[in-house]
Amino acid sequence: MTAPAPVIEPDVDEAAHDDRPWQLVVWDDPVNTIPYVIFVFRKLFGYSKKKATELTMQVHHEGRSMVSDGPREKVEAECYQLHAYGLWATIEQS
Amino acid sequence: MDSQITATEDGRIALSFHRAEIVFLGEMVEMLEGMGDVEDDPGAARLNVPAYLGNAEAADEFRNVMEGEMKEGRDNDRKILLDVLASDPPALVGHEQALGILRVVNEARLVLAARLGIEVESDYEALDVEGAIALHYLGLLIEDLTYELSRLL
Repeated sequence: MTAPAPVIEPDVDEAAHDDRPWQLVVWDDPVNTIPYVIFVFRKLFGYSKKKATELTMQVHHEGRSMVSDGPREKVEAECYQLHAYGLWATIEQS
Repeated sequence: MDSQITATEDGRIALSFHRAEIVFLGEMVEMLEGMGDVEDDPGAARLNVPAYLGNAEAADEFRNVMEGEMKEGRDNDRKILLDVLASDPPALVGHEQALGILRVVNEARLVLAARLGIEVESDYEALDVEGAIALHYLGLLIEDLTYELSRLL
């Protein structure tokens, strides 16, 4: 007999009081090329070439860049897309 | 590199590959399909980076929710590339299919680099010739695809 799946109860108090925005961070890596990352930012976020380039160069020079923010569900969906394109992206709260 | 990749006037991408490239890219797809577990394959680990740092529970939950769709998407991308490799050149693909080819070629480069131990820029200097050529070729292919797809944005 299969054991019932554990039910994860949300921490209501924590969720209710922690409304800090979620941020999507892209990290530098030595394999993805700069033109590729610029293209992905333009394609996924609709950023101008100028903004996509600025963010990409920030990733390259500073090691990371916050490329998007908003509600957790939105940021998680964007993180999934970046992972699908092979970018090293993580989610954090500001 | 002998491949030719060009955006057409109707918004599609035309791709032609030399025989040796077809063989190599086919091997890359085989490599991706034969990946091991995250725990013991650096290539698999690179493709499955945690979405949350310092929060293993949230990272695991994210992976559990997304991994089915991610696998389906990656399988589909590989099929698109294999279909192109099996086509008479030039193969004409739509924008979304070309994005799939871009993703799978980049995926192959990431996995190969991870398995070759590329963690920082200076690691490239220690590559053997075969590894360096493979990464260079895939990089050129990504560059060409990115350039042509950028013209369609």
